Amino acid sequence: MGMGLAGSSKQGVFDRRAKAALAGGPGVRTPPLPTPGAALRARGPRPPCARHLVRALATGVRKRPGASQPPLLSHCRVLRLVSRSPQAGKEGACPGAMVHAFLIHNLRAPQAQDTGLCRVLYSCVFGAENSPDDPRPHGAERDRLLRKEQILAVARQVESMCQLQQQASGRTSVDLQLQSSDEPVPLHEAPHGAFRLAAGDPFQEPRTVVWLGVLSLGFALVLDAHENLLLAESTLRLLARLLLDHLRLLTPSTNLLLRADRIEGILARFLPHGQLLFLNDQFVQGLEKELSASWPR
Amino acid sequence: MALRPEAGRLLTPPGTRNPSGRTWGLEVLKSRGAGGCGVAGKGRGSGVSGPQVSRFRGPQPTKATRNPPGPVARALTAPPPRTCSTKAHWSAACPPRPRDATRDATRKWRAAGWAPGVAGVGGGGDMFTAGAESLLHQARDIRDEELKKFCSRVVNLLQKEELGPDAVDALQRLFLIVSATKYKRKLEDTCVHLLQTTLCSPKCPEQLQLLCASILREMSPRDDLSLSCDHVQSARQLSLVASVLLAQGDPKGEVRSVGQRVFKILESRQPEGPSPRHLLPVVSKITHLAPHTLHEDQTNQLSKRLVDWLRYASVQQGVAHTSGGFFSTPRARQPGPVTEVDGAVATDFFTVLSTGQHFTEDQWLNVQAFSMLRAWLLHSDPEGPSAPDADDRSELEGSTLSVLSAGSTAGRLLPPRERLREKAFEYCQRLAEQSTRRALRKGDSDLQKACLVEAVLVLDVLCRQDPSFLYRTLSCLKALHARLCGDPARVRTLLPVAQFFLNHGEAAAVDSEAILRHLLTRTPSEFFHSPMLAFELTCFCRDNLPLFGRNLDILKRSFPNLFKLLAWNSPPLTAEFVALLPSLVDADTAVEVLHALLDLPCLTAALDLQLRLSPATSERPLWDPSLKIPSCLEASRDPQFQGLLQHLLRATASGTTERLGPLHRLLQPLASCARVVQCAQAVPTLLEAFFSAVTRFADGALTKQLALLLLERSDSLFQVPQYEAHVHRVLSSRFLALCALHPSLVVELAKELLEFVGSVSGIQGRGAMLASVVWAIGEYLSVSWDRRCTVEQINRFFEALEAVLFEVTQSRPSAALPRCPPQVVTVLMTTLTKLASRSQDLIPRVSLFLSKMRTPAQSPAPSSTSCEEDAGAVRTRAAELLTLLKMPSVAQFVLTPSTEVSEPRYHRDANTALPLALRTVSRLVEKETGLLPG
Repeated sequence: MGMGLAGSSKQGVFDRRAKAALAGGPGVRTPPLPTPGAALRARGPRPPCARHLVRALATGVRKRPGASQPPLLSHCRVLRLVSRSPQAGKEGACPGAMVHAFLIHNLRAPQAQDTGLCRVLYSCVFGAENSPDDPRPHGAERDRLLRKEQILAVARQVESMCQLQQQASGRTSVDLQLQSSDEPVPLHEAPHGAFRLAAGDPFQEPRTVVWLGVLSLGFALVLDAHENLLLAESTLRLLARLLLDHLRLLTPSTNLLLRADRIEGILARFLPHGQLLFLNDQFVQGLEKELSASWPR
Repeated sequence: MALRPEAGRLLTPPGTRNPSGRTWGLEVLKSRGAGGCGVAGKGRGSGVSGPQVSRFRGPQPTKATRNPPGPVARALTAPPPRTCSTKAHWSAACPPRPRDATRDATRKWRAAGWAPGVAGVGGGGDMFTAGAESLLHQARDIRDEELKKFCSRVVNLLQKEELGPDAVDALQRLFLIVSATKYKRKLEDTCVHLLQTTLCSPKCPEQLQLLCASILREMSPRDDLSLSCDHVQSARQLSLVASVLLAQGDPKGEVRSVGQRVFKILESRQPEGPSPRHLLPVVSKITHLAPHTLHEDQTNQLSKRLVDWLRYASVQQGVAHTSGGFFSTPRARQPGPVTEVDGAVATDFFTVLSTGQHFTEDQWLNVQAFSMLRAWLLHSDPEGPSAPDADDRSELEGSTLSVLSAGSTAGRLLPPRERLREKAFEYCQRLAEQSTRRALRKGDSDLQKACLVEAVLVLDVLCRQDPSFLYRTLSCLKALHARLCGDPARVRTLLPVAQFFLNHGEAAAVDSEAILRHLLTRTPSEFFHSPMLAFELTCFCRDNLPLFGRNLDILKRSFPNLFKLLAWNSPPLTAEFVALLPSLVDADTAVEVLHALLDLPCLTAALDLQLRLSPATSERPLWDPSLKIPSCLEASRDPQFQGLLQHLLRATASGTTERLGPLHRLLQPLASCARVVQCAQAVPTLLEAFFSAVTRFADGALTKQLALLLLERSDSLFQVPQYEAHVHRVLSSRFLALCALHPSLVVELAKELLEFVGSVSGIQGRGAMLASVVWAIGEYLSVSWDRRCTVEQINRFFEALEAVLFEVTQSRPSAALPRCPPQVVTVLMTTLTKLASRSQDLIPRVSLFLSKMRTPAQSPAPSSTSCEEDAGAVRTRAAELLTLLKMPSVAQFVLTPSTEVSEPRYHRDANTALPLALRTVSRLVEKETGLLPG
């Protein structure tokens, strides 16, 4: 096992999440999470995981093909898209303080790893990561593929983080899901957290992810590294509440996949172009009224 | 079961809906069925297949597994519940037919339309997933020819005079189809073109525009986009068009063109024109994506307007609007002044913390302006990171000069940038004042905290850009810090304040020491259980390492406190601490840090216990309530444990270490708790980081201390499942590495090593550690490494190891005990042989032993094949060593190579060369092993 400093951070707990994110695209069945420490016992070459894949896509590192590779990987592996910009990782390289992306994905119960997959149900990337110092020509298709893989990588990490936190606090997701859909979800008690993504993995620039798990949905904001986290956190809570209310996600009959217009309508007002807004209660109510006028519930 | 809200109701009031509104999907299906897409249904089981599968499936459609119809499929095929007339209409219009392509496709589309029916089936945890899953599959499985037909349908709908609910419904589906896969979806050119024209069409409803924009954005980057923002008039529309253009990644200078257009509209300043409210976020995004696209005069102009919006927004409330617009209204009808968050009438100018029933347009702009203020200040600062290129500079300087001179002639007005800074300063001070008020609503109280953070961050930027703000800011921030220290609810706002003092403490001649000390010694022990605070504080330490300067010592000494954050929140923080550790470790703290790292899972358990013992702070317990530990809670009151707990939970480095064995036993019931297990999984990674850092500066004395510590701690670890094995793997390899760095360690630690190998009672758990210790003895117990090494010493070690080998191979007290790993046996044999080659009187003894090992074991016959393989490996090694020992000089050469061996000459010179010697030896060894039985 390569135990260099850089690689070693992927060991241990991180192995769990790397493994949870195993093997490529959204359609490949994810293997069950290993039992604690299984990753450390395994000494053989580890199968390529999505983290590595995305890094390979982003940095041009060619990964050794694993034995159990799905066909997708061989297709992706030849792609070498973006080189890491030299400024990436420098403090204050980007003056902005904006949200890079917003995503909604499903959260599986920790004990039900082998049922279904981590799916991104909605994602919105605000603007594009610019790579002015990358001389290589980009295919538009490959850029899009990279973007999608980046978002998926975030979703998987959020899912792992959420599961680990739920396990640690002794809460199975079952007791959350048993709640009646009539009651408002206590968002301030929902599992939440933040973690960092180093430059080049999977985004060019270092990013911070703030996430919130509500029942079986994960909401996440991908932020620039030096964003106001208190504001981001309350904005994420606000968005989650609005989405739950206005899309009536808690009634079993709704599906957010076919209601992109409402999600977009909410984002356009409360997170325009990824700009976090300082909205006090009355401003929120004003915008909500405007929203309800456009989309009668 | 509730119904899916019909798309039609969104735009047309219920009752006026076109009765044929929902039937288009059916027509599509019919036409598709008639089109003879015979393969559509083939191989489309409910088995999991992703986009790549559907994409690459092409010629082998039958490969996908077809599962028996599960609940989902049954729900799809079953007629929908008759609670809605439209549903009945659907099922009537689509009678069940024999299995054919059309029916399969019908099922698919019906599911897409009636996902709710599907979603309800799973219930509980599958509530969202089942419906979403099946919809995603359907969207991904749509083939190109089907999509082509669907596109032509969309084209027809978009070409209609009146864009109705059908169009919305179709676009919602199109969005799903495009976004559900990461691969390119080929849409008809006319369709893409129409999406763009619809987006730009002035009379198109917002809902459709949003959908068009989101579809175009989902497809981006695209090379063939003809979208342009040049003729868009409405601000909201321009914002949407910009979102599509900015998603292209700027291959054709889209960002610049959007920027110019937005500024043109902003400059026009028509009272009835588009509101800048929707455009400011675009500006913000553009300055973020491409900081150099704005001209200096544009920057100045926006700075001027930001001043107006920030400082001079109306202090009267707006008037209620039913239409949803917020354009200026006659002032006479205004209902009253704006209020503060505590309900009092506003005392000063309007800010984001001022409230009212309704807001005027300039109040909205105030919110926008403050939200983008920090980014804008950083952008408009010429010294900042966004400084333009050298060739642009002369031009910019010229314009700056002209602005300056214009300003001076216009009567001592500050230039726009400075004026904006001045107003930003006033705004932040007002926010600091407003945040002392007691908010009536929870949302406003949260906003107060966020505003306080932002205000401090803005002040920090201001002071960096113009040090003359420093003195005015300091008094404000000192007062703020004093206030925040006593307010546990606002502990997170302490971080930007500390950041400010770290950045400017030196310039302001203020010592940030006290502030840092408070932050690092009190905050973690009280708030380690808050995931966000733990994350922010860790990032704060990591990001500011270069700024700590002489205060770095405070950081180093507070590592036990910082480790609490890590112990409680290990998954998100492990990577941060791997980066932070090298700065926390120095020669003074290394030993204590290593102890603390090894005790990290125990610390997690102790923190859990601490929380359980302390009075409840929140309505939900912060620990795992399913785990009950009454005995632990009871026993922890024992004074013996109290002292140890206090040591483990100390806030700063104590310089001493305690044996925590009793505490391990006390906390044992907590060892199975998930949080402790997670933390234990992170420890090996952290140990690696620790040793990489420590070996950079460790001298002989420290190395000796660390090596001793490794020996000592290898059998006193908190008993978490798998923890010991994982830690041993790291410790054993690191022990060898330490010996390689300082080979005389083996001679210096002879006594301790002898003790260690003498106490092999717990060999099962310590195999890895024993193997590396024994190997180190064989490698480095030699005069060539340390002159102090004597024959007596070698003999003593030989005897001790011989006894160990005898114990692990010949005398097994019970067959139930696990066998000694063959690695340990072979390492022991090899080391004995090495020692014998250095003290040749021992050769007969070891030869006798080895020849015993060579013959198959007399002990109970090995049962499994793996046992047989293990025994085979041991026998082979014994035979090899035996052969080597027949020629003592060769044995010494091979087993104790001189240091010269690593020199290049040794490998190049054909006569003295190592390869020659190795070839000879391997011939000898092979010959002998070839004669071995079995």
